[in-house]
Amino acid sequence: MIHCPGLPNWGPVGQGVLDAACEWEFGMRKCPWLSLWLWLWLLGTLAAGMLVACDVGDGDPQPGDAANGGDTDDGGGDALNGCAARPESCGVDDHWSTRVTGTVVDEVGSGIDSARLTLCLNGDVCLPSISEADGSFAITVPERNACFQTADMHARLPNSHRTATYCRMDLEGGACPLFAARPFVLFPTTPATTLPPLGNADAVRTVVFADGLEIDLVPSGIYPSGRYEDLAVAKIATDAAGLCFLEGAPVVLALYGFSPEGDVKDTNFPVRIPNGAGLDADTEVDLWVLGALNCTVAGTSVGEGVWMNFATAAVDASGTLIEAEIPCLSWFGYSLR
Amino acid sequence: MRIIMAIFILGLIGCGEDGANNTCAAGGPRHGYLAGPFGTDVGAVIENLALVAADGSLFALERIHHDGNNRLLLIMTAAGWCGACIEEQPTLQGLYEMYGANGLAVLVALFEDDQFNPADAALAAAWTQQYHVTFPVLADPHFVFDAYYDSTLTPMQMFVDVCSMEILKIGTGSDASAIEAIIEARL
Repeated sequence: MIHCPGLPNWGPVGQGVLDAACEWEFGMRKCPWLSLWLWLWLLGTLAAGMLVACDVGDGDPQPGDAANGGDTDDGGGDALNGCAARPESCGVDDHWSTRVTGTVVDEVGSGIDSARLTLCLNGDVCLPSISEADGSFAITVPERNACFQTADMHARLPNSHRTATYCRMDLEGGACPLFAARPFVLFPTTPATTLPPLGNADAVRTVVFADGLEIDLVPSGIYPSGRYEDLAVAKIATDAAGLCFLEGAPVVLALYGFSPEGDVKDTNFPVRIPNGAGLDADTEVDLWVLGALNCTVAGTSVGEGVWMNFATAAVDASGTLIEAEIPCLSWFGYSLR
Repeated sequence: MRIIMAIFILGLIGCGEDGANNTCAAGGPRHGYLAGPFGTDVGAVIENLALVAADGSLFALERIHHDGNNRLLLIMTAAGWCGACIEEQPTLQGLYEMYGANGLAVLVALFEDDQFNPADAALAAAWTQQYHVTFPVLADPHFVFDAYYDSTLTPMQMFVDVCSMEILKIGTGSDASAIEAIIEARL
């Protein structure tokens, strides 16, 4: 039994702890206050650590484990897959995640190395990341930003002939880490078959792509500038995987994606779309465009990842083309009106 | 000990917010720039950073300081890949138009384009034109503002007292109402 002046009576259990603490003091039968509190602090720390470990070690595989990779770049949160505990201040309608993971793949599902990801939370703060060699990525979200209602992802491979893509992440039932269940697919694009030399950048010229898609454009009218000579397009089957922005939208009959993406400044570019769907002459269609980093319709920015019906058009009298105008070089398509 | 440390830390935080209550009356031009020491935290005097203007010339913060009409400087970092930054431009322009006459100066510092390349004068010029802004848009190709905040988050807003060039507040994200509240309180 140890007696320490001024210590309250903790009963048999408290006295046992006290005895143990003092016993561990190199066997010295005394109660130096500093050492006692040091032992109590260590015990508390150990207990907290065991609680954290128990919370993780439930045996359930976590989606995104491959992408988590066990790295420790978030400063010690690895025991919780990079996740910090949800604070009470985070509202019940909010999602809480200090880590967001996923993969970026090509059209056949192979991982894309060095793809650039941008995660924008609540539309007011963005976090960049880069994919690993297998296409996986993990973004650590600082705790002060980890309580959010929307999470929008933008994936692209800079300076490449691949489309970019935008997806709003599904937060329903999500946990931390927030895992993008479906990979972000970057489709290959094909350079124009007819691309007049740059020459006078203010002059209109017709650019023709592989399936007969034609655009009358002015190089100086593209923002950001310097994109003209790299222009390429992909015509993608509308049932292809990875077209998250089409979810809930009317069935599109044709879908094109540009690389690099850009805006059309001040005015729209006339476009002639082959009637690949075989629609009858004069059939009316709705035209759709994907909001991107730089995409404005009638002077108003279209939100990233928003699949917007921006105009209507009709199959021409010959039944071969749909003539319209496009407001930006991201993704566009048409559906039956 | 923990309580003492907590009180000490709270005291430091309090000093960081309250110690910068230094407004600047409108007046004639100022000359030179503040002497150091300079720092990167709230309460410190910001260095006379020089960025690249849309015309390729150097634009140092002393240019803002020298204009006696300026009282409060709002610096926003941005990148071409940052959708939140782009969305913020009309708001910034609106604030500049509303409070510019009262002494608000606004400056956007671009550090990367949408392909993640370092920003340059051409990007600053194109940004100015694309988003129809009339305040200075500068290129920060060496990302000097990286030292001032957690740059994993974009954009950053920094408020600087133009008279003392003291950093008043540093934040991330684009909460327009919070930004306007600070401007209202300072001007």
